[in-house]
Amino acid sequence: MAGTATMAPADAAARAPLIALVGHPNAGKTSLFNVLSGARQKVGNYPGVTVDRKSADIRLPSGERAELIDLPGAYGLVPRSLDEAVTRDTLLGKQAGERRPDAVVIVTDATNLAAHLRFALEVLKLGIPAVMALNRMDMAARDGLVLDSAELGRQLGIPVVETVAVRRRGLAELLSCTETVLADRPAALPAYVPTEPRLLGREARRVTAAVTRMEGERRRTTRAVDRVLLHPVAGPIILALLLFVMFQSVFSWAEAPMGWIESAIVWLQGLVSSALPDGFLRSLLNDGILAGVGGVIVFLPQILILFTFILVLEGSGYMVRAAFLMDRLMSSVGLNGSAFIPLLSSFACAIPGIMAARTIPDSRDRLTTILIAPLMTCSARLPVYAVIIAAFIPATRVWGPIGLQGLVLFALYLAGILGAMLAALLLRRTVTKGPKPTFLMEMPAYQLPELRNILLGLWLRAGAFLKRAGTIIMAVTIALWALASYPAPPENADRPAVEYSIAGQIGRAIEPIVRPIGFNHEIAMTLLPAMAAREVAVAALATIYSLDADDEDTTSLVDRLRGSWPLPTALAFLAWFVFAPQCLSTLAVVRRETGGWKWPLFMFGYLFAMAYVAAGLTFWISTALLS
Amino acid sequence: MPSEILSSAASQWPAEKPTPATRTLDELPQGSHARIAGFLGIEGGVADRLVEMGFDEGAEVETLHVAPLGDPIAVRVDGTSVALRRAIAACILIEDLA
Repeated sequence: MAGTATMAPADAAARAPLIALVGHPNAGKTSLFNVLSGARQKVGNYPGVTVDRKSADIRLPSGERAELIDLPGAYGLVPRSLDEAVTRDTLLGKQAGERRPDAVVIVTDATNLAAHLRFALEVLKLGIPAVMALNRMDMAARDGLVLDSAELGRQLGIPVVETVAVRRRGLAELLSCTETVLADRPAALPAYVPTEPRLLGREARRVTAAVTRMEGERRRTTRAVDRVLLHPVAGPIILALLLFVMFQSVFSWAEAPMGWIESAIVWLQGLVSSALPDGFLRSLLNDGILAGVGGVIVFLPQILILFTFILVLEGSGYMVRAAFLMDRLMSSVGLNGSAFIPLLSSFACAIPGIMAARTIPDSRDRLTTILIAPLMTCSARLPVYAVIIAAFIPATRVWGPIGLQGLVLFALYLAGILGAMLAALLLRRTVTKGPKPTFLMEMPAYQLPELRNILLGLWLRAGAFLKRAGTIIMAVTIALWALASYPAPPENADRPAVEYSIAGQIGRAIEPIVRPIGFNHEIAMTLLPAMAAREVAVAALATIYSLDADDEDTTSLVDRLRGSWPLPTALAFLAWFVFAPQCLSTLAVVRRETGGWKWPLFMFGYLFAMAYVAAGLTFWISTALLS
Repeated sequence: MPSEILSSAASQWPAEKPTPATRTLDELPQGSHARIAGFLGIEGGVADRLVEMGFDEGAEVETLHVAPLGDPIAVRVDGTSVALRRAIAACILIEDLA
């Protein structure tokens, strides 16, 4: 099927030597990869696992092409995470769909040489032609640390190049040394024999001592900053302030661009309406495709702003500190501190939260975090809560300035958090059960985050979201549109069009299931359309109550609901929205992040069960109390 | 492949704290220095990771920070700052600097 034209470049790439960057997670490997590859990098996935494969076609000084890959950061060749397994298997030539590298560039942090040399020595034992990038030489110099890189090269038997990735220093020499060792490839590599970690450690310390010409006072600045940022009292206060600013920005800065995107979509829909007659094509373009595209890109501003903050926090080294400060609280529900930021992000929207869970090193911790992220009350629930609360909760004062409506809203947020804690506890004991979760992380030195890395990170994440999640979200939105539009209502229809469609029939099928928890016909009809996004529930209710769909003013809907729903039904509806998996975009992102349909389906099932029980309990208890 | 020290530690899991002369890392006050003396009652995988991060016998450690609510702690070992929970620190034996 594949034409020769598309095969040729792939073959050429296969023949070009493969150069792998390896090193500790905090060696500055990614910065080095970014400056070596520029924007030419490609992000793919290793088959079967959700580990990014970052590669780029580069040119060596002679003009020869080579493929550069950025292997996931690792502390050793005995893997303790999916990332490390990919690194180990690639270096051993056992990674499915990957060639064994022809050369490795071992990236080490000059300010932390002994620790990084341990892994370097382990990699060198593999016999793959190697070059060492002795990175962060500028920071070492600032600390007063003097290393003899020529002596280090003699000790290790490989070329050692001093680099400062962020200043692009040493890059040309690094590439030319790589080309030199590539020319001298051995015919066969020795068999891999694991080495005792402590022997490697001793050798690393011996070599470090042999090449250290002057011992600097290391990490002076970092220690001083940490004395404030990790202070038991000041630390959490600063973290809270930082998060406050972050959330203010996410909501206030994203508001305008989200409005522009929405108006742009409405404008395009207007164009379509004026150009095309009413019918299948117009409806498909407007209500299917444009609504679908709009539904995807409307998330972008929030995602980009949130990720700017996350990338800055990560790049500066603060992220690990935030995890350190929050670990004790998170451990009470079997999670670890690194789950804190992803979960917090989910209060804006579960999608960036779930994507941010990539920063969690342990795969079980990460999965648990992803599964409970939708329980954090996202901003899309607010329109639903606002309408129902306005209709059914009297605006009375409870105590001082505290009103009943605000209190109910607070209770809904709290219910989500408590539900998430309960879910985490249960999941940790069942489906994500594993060795006792722990927290063991290196705290890197602080550094100024680099604009280039942040922009590249944003570009890659936005691209990943639009390409991989966007296609699923759009397909599903179009499918929902088709379900809600066909078959068309008869000529003399006396009920809203949706009632006659497949979605309407599904709604009627759902009805007996949700009757026991107090839901009426209208709510049952709303549930399927609201899968597109939670806030769609409001528009769907308006349509079903035959209100003017374009009516921006929700007062009429509030009045209408007040007249037709009993209070227990309204409360059950609120409880439902705290837990229900009413968001296909979230499920699509979970599919992408977990690499299959297993976990999104599980998430859908358990959240549905939780929502059903919560809505049911709310309905039955409030009915009993009110009668 | 746990080393001899680890396997012997696992076989004689201590019912109480070891000999009074030895302490564990979680008992090291903030700002104090000590030397790593070994591991006690810890699973091989975690022990190897600790060694990879610099917790090797003879290495000098210093308690740098204690998180709010007392856990986890941050220590400096072999030039690296490492954050770890007290439960792990309690498995790392330390001795006074000579």
